[in-house]
Order: sequence, then C-alpha cells, then structure tokens
Amino acid sequence: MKNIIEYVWLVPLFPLAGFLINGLLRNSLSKSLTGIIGSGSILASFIVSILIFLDVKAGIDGPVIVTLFDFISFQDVSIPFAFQVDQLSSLFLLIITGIGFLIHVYSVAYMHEENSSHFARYFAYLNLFVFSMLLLVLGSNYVIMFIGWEGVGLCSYLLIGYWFKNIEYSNAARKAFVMNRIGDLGFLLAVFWLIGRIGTVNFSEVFSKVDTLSSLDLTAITMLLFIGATGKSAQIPLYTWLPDAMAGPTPVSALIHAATMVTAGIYMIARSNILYTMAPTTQTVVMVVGLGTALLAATIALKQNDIKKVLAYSTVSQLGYMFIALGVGAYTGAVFHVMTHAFFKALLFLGAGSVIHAMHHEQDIRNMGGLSKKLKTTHLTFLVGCLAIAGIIPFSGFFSKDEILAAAFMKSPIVWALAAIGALMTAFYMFRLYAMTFLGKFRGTSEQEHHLHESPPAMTIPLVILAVLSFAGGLVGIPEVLMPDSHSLAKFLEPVFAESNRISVPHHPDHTTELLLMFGLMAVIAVVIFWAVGKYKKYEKSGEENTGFARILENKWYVDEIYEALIIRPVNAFGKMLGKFDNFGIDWVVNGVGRSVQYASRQIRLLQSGQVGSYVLLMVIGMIVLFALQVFLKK
Amino acid sequence: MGSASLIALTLAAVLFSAGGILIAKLLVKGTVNPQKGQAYECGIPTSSSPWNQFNIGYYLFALIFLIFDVELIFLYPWAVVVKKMGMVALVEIVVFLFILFMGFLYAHKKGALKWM
Amino acid sequence: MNDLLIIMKQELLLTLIIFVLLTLKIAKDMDNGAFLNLVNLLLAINFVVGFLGGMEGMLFNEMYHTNSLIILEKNILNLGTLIISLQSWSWLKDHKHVAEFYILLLCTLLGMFFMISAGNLLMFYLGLELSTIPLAAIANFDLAKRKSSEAAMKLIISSAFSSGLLLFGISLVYGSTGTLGFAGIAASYSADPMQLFAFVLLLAGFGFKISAVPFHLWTADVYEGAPVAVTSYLSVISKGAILFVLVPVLYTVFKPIAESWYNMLYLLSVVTIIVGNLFAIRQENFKRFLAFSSIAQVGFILVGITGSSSAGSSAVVYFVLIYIFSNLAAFGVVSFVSATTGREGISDYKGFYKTNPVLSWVLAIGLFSLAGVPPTAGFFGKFFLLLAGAGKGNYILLTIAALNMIISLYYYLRIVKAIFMDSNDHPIEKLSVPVFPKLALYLCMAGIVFTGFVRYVYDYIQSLSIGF
Repeated sequence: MKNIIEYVWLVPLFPLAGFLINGLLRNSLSKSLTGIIGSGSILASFIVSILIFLDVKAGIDGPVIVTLFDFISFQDVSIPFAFQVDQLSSLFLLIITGIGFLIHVYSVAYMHEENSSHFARYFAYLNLFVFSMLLLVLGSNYVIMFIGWEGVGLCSYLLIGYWFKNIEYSNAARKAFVMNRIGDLGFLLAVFWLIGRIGTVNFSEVFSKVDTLSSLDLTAITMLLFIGATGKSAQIPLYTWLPDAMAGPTPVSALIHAATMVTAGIYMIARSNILYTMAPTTQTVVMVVGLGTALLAATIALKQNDIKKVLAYSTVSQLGYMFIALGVGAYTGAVFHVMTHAFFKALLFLGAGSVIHAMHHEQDIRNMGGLSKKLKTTHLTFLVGCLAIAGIIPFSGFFSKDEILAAAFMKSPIVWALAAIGALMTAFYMFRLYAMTFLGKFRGTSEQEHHLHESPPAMTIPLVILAVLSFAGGLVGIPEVLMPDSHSLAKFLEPVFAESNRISVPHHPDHTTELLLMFGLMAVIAVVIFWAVGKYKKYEKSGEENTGFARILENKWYVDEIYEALIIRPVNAFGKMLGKFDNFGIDWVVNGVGRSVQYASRQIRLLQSGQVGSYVLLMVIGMIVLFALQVFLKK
Repeated sequence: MGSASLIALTLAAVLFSAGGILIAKLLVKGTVNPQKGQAYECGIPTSSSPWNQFNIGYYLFALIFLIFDVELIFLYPWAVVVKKMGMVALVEIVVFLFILFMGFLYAHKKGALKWM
Repeated sequence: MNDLLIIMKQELLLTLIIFVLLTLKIAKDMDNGAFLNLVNLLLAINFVVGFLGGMEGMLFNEMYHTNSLIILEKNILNLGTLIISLQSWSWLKDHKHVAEFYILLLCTLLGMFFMISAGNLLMFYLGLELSTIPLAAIANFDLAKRKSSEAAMKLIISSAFSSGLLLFGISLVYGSTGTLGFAGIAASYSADPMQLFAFVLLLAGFGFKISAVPFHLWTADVYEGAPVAVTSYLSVISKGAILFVLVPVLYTVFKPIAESWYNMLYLLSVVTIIVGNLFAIRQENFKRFLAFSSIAQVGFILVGITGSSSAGSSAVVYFVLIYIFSNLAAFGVVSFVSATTGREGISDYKGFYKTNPVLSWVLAIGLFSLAGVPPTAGFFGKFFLLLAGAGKGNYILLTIAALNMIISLYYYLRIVKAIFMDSNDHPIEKLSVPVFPKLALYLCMAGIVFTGFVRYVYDYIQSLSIGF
C-alpha cells in the first residue's frame, strides 16, 4: 500500500473542488447544499491532514517531496509542481484545515442572511482562500509558495471587499491588496535573486547550497523575503491594512487572523530558517521590527472602541511577538505561538462575531456591556480566549509567550523588558474589551436589548471546541523548568530546525531566572487584569472626547495620516507630474507613432488595387529584388 | 558555369520570344486588305458581332470531350507496357478507368450530356 | 502491397470518402441535413483513423514518403477540415451543391496530403495543383454573389501565374541538377546564380501560396469574396499544408544554400509582418481583416523558420496547430454570424457582448490567442516561434517581430473593445448556435486551452521534428 503522504495532493484538491462547485453553480445551489460542500471539502482535507500528520509523527526520514508535474522548465532552471511534507508543513496543515473547518461551520450560521448566490460566492472564496494557503504551505519551492502567497492575497481582497457595494469596504480591500503587493514585490525579487545566484528555488536544494552564497547575497535575499513577510504578516511598515481588513465578514477576519494569511510570513521565515540563521543582520532587523510592531500595535489597541479593531491590533501585536521569536532564532517558539494564537484568536474573533450577531451588527463596545447574562456560552469562551492571550497559566498563550520571552531574555534583557511591557498592555486591553463588552450595564438601545440572544449551535459549538483548544493547546510545549522533557512540539519540529540549531545553539536562561521572570510577569499581569476589569466594569458613556496621548492612541498614532502625507500625496503629486509629462511628451511620441503607422497603412493600401495584373507585376518585382539582393550580397 | 548558363538562358529566352516577333515583322509584307479580316479558310463570314450570348452547352460538351479525350491518351502508353507489367498494370488501369467512369456518370447525372 | 495500404492509409481513406460522396451524389438525392451528418461523421472517422497504426516508409521510387511527423501533420489538417466542415453547417444546409462542395474540398485536402508526402518535385507539383484548382471552384460557391465569382477568377489567374513560376523553377532545377528527387537535389545543389534563380522562383511559388508579401495581393480580394468556409480553409488549412512542405524542403533539400535562403526569408518575414500589420489596421470588413492579420501571422512563422533547427521545425508545426484553433474560433463565429445575419463589418460587432455573450467570449479568446496574449495557446505558439528565431542570434529580426506583435495587439484588441465596450443601436440579434457549429467552437476552445498548457503536445511534436 502506498503511503498516505503520497496522496497529499488530496488536501488542496478538496477545497479547490469546493471552490469550483460553489463558484460555478452559485446560482443553482441551495444554501444548505453550499454550506455542506464548503465545509465538507475542508473537513475532508482535515481528515487527510490528520492521517498525514500521524504518519509524519510516526517518523519520516527527512522531508517527503511529492512531485505532480513539471511546472516550469527552462534551460537549467527546473521548477516542479511539487509538495513537500515534513513536520512543519504537516503541523500547518492541521492548523489551517482544522481551524478553517470550524470557521466554515460557523460561517454557515453567521452568513445565513445573505441570499443564496452571494452565500455561495462567500463559500467559494473561503474555499479558494484555504486552497491558496494550503498551496503556500505545501509548496516544495519558493515559486509554488509564491503562487499560494498571491492566491491568499487575492482571496483576502475578494473577501474583505465581500460587501463590495460599500465604497469604504472596497477601499479597505484595495488597501489590503496594494499593501500586500508591495510585500510581494520583495518576495518576487528574492526568488529572482535566488534563481540568479544558485539557479534553483527548491527548498531542499537552496538550503543545501546555502554555503555557496556570499553573506551579502544572503542578507539581501533574506531581507527581501522579510519585506514580503511584513506585507502578509502585517508588520511595520505594512501593517495598516490588517485593521482595515475588518470590513469583511467576521469569520473571514477569523480566518485571515488565525488560520491563514498572516501566518504566511511566519511560516515562510520558519521554512527558510537556515537562510536567516546564516544572516544575523537580517535577524536583528526582524527582531527590531517585530518588537516595534508588538509595542506600537499594543498601544493602539488600548484606546480602540471597535470590538474587531481591538482584536485586529492585538493580532498585529501578537505577530510582532512571533517575529521577535524568529529574530532571536527561537523558531520553535514562533511556530508554537502561531499554533496557540490560531486557537485563541479564532476563538476571540468568532466570539466577537457572535456578539456582533447578537447585537445586530453593532461593533462599538461603548454601546455594549452586560452581555454575560444573555450570551452565556459566548461569554465563557471569550473569557477563556482573553485569559489565553493574556498569558495566564495554564492557558495555552502562557506557554508559547513564555517561550518567546525566555528566548528574548537570552538575547538581551532590554528586549525582554520591552516585550514584557507589551504583554502587560495586551492583558490590559483584552480585559478592557472583555469588561466593556460583557460586564456592567447594557448601554445599547432598548431594541437591541430586546433582541439579544445566544447564537445558534452551529456558531457556539466551534466556540466551545476552540475554547478547549485554547485552554489545553499549550500543553504540547511545557517548558523544561516546569516539567522536564515534556516539550513535545519542540521534539516534533526538531528535524526542521536541526541545521539552524547546530549553527547557533539556542540557550536557555538558568532555571531560577526563568521561573522568576515567568511568575513575576504573571503576577503583574494578574494585577493589570484586575485593574482593567475593575476600571471598565463601571464604564459609562460620556460625551467627552479623549485628549492628549489617549487621543493619539485612539487615532492609531496617526500612522495612516502620516502615510497619507509622506507617501500617498507625494506619489500622487509625482503621478500628476508624470501625467503631465505623459500628456505632452509620451503621448506625443505614441500618437506620433500611431499616426505614422496609420499614414503608412493608408499609403500602402494603394498597392491593393484590385487588378490582378498589378498583383502579378509586384510578384515579379519582388522576385527580382530577392534575386538581385542575393547576387549583390555575394559580391 | 552557373552564371554563364543563367545568362545564356536569359538570352535564349529573349531571343526566342523577341526573335519570333522580329522575324515575323521582317518577313511580312505590310499590306492590309479586307480579306485579312475574314475567318480563315473554313466557315462562313460572320453575320453579326461575335460578342453576343450563346448557349453554354457548347462549352460543356467541348470540355467533357476534351477531358475524356486527353485521359484516354494515357491508354496508349499503358498498352505498350501492359504485357511486361502484367497484373499490376491491369489493376491500375481498372482503377484509372473507374475514376474516369465515375466522372462520366456524374456528368451524365447532372444532365451535362443532354442538349437542351 | 500491404505496406502500401498502410503507408498511404490517410490518402486512401480520403479517396474512399470522396468516392462514397460521389457515388451517393450520383445514386440518389439525399436531403442536405442527412448528407451533412454523414459527411461530418465520415470526417470525424477520418480524423480518428489517422492516428491508428501508421507506418513510415517510401513508395514509388521515393516519389512518396511518409514519417511520423508527416502523419501528424496530416492529422492536423484533418482536424482543421473537420472543424471547418462543422462550422459551415449553417451555410451549407440550404446550399444547392453540398456534395460538390465536399468532393472538391476533400480533393484539395488529398492534394495537400500528396504534396506533404512528396519526395520529388514533380509529385509536389501534382499535389499542389490538385490542392489549388478545386479551391478556385469552391471559392465561387456563393453562387449569387458577383464578388464570389471575382474571387474565384482572381484566384485561378494568379495561382496559374504562380504555378508557372514554380514550373519554371522546377525546370531550371532539373536542368541544372538532372534530377527531380529531393535527395538528388540536396546532394548536388549549390549557390551558383542559375540554381539560386531557380530557388527564387520556387520560393515565389511558395510565397504565393502562404501569401507572404509581396506575393500576397490576391489574398484580400479572394478572402473577401469567397464564402467564409472557403476563406477559413484557404487561410488555415491550405496555408498550413504549404508550411508543412516548406519547412522540410528548406531544411533538407535546400540545405546547401541555407545561407542564401536565410537572407531571403529574413527579408520576406520582415516585409510580411510589417505590411500585413499595416493592412490589417485599416480593415473594416471582418473577413478581410482576418485575411490580413493572417498575413502578419505568416510573417511570424517565417521568423520561426529562419531559426532552421529542430526548434524551428517543431515551433512551426506547433504554431500551425494553435493557429488552426485560434483562427477557426474567430472564423467560426464570423462565419456563423455572416451565414445567419449576413453582417460582416467590424462595426456590426459593436455591442455583440450584450446580445451574444458566449459567442463574444469565443471570439475574444480566439482573437487573444491570435494576438498572442498569455495565457492563451497563441502566446506559447508565438513564444516558441520567436525562441526558434532567436536561435540564430538575429535580434534585429526579433525586435521587429516583437514591435509588430504590439501593433497587432492594437488591432485585435480594437475588435475586442468593440465587442465588449462599444454600444450599438442595432446590435446583432441574439443567435442560437446549432449543434455542429457549437461543437466546432468547443473544439477550438478546448484546443486553445489544451495545446497551450499541456507540455506534452509540444514535446511530442519536438520529438518528431527534423532540423539541422
């Protein structure tokens, strides 16, 4: 019997089929059928992914490459359409299809108000999204990865702009797309650079030839790849699209933030870990950017009032942590955090979706409050999510964040301190959000209050499952100090990062320090949580505007405005100038060429007289010219 | 050699065509009389302008006659070698005649042989 | 004898079909619908059988030869003829002389087969004539139209002239080498003026058939006047057949004077591309437009031939295959519209998308493929042609070709714009396409997608190709 890994192409095949069926038959399928096809295809992928994961866990010798066909083959460069299955990709498969499936199920209930054609369009996009992400994760070379990379960008555009009749939403979609494209350019340049230098883009060959690259090449390639990552994974300076991406339906936000898209950058760097380990300069840049993003986004989140915006900035901030981990060489930590973050962020978003659903598309937390009484399941699961993201033991976020912080501490205590401040802010804004939404008095209209209801099971069941995962998901990576030899994730991923770990051996802080840091921080976080809950439980709506620093935060550090002033306006002005030049210079040339072509064609038409005699004459002249040229050229 | 032969060929071509006209011009005595405008030897003087419409049947008959006439000429060389080639030659000529016959049948079916 | 049957399988089958049709015509009067069904069935069988159990070999003292590439080429022509036959269904279903149309059409196809398989100039000439003279007759098949008669007349006169040139060339070749067999000519040919002149005459004959500038002038009048089915046949099948002969003749028979014909072809291709494009820009009649654009396409093919390697040979065959699909997709729509509404002007197609979205897409994809826009097959076809042309390192030629691709993009897209974006007070009404033409269009679409994306097609052609 053939190994199940050989059938890995089934995993992306199901969502693709789902996309085609839902997309092509969107006008004839009923809603329930659409939902079944959409979710069922992901479930099928999930099952195959589990089998593959078990196989990989049972042990494989190195990555398994499954080649489907030759994709591009030109002279020396050969790029197969192949999938690579190893520990890293099989883990991501589980995350993507598992959480993706839950989100699909949730969406069936969440989107039930749409008419069936739009409903099918939604599921078609969702399936295509998952398909692209799977392609990205499974690709055995940078080009296949890039196809998935682009596909993910396209789908995010389509889904963010799902309600395309709203101009603002369409603009948000466009912003996401453009920001992503800027990053993609970096990725593409890196791929070209690789082809130019070593003539291959296959992971295995690139990583084995890494020694032949000069350090300049390495730095350039890794930097370019990182630019790609900042676009997809929303890091400074390209993060602004992610909060705006809230324009899409909430499950889409969950999908973008938890299972797909934003983790693409992390995955790519983790996949290329050897390149990064060999390029310390880039690593430092990655770390600094990650740290900056983590702090910046956390401060912005402190003062946001839109439930989804807070979560969005928290994602940006958490992604910053993952980049810190990548920057300090703690690849396992980064992947670990991707995993736990996928659990609790999906949970939080879906919980937020449930709240929004109950509140009839109200997203402003100033108009909520006291929802815990009506939305019991949502409330409890949301609380689990908040505890997990804040990093309270034994919730999953604690373990992964702690691993990152420990690694950061070994790099430099300052990095640790800054990251810890970020963690405190995280706890604060999450529990501000929690308290304002679920505790205190209801502040919405009486009509909203009247209609408050818990969401249907199709929405709450995924929440419960995710809550369990958010609670227990961290147990696969219990740090050495707490329980020796129980970091099973690290052991599982070991082969992927073995080479990097050999080059720069990871250090751990000694046990006392680590325990001290861990529980000291925990204690402070707990204090912060009580403070935040106590402060915002009694929140009352007041007409007064924020002033001073709070106002800056509320306006997100004016980053969008700064971009507007520094980049968009100059570019527009430059564009206008070029436009002028275009009108007078280029257009003149182009039109001139066009006119002369038109003129020539008018003249040459005279040859076409309709007289066979003249045709024959021209043939004879042509022959004579040909012959004469031959004879004269000879001489 | 090539160049020379090409030139010779061109000269020959020019001589052949121009020469004929030239010699005719030289030999002929430049007299013009009405007799020369008449149809030569056979037939009768035209009674009206030849540029009028006449029955297309003339053409059809002439063409069909010409085609079969020409094709049948191929039977002569065949007859010369048929003894030497034997069976193959027989089969081939039957195929050939079959094709001709089909054409003939078609013409007949279309009524091309009927004088209207 | 058995070998003969297998080697000449394709020709014999075609002859058989011709005779079946002729017998049917003589024996009884069938109604058009049934007759067309039968013909299309026979042509489909003919196409399929072409792939079964072929055999390479020589016959009749090297007068006739065949190999895998030639078999494939004949199959390609069979396919094209089948598609054209399906497309002309709506034109022929009310025509008085359907049987004659098919008999003559298939005779020309038979002529092409013999021409492609020729191993001797005489055989080649016979095939060529067989493939030309009946065409003049069917060019006249729009019996009520004066233009159709004019087209037939112009075709027969100018092709008689080109045949004269060819015969003159052949006689000079014979005079200077003493043989007409391809092998013998290749062995003793050289670049002395006499033989060069003979070659120029032959090339002019070829150039006339593929309508390379300056031997192209008959094309526009004939294409415009002839029925659309005949026009598409002329511009696709007949051209393709000649190209299939031209490539091996240049690469093997006239290999000794490769340098000379390279220069001539260079000149011809440049002039052809440019003039073809210049003409195409200003055409207002859709058929005339396609005719001129096909002249420019031939220019691109000539660029590929100058590559003179197996890449050149395979690029040409590959391109002709794609060209059949793309051009017939365009011609198919035009032919159908012209047969049902009688409208042929490009401006008639304004707003076509509003009334006939499916046909518009077919037409647009066909035009995109002709223009060489990725990801249609036309792009890959042109790409391989230019790649083959680049083999000789002649970048001036490639630059000219590339610039002209841009110009051609303009006029193809102009039509696409008219179809999709322009509004029209009297658009072509909504048409429902009968089964056969629809099938033909599906075949073309499948071909445009399939041949472009499936590497196997190109690889297969390349594995059969000759070159030096």
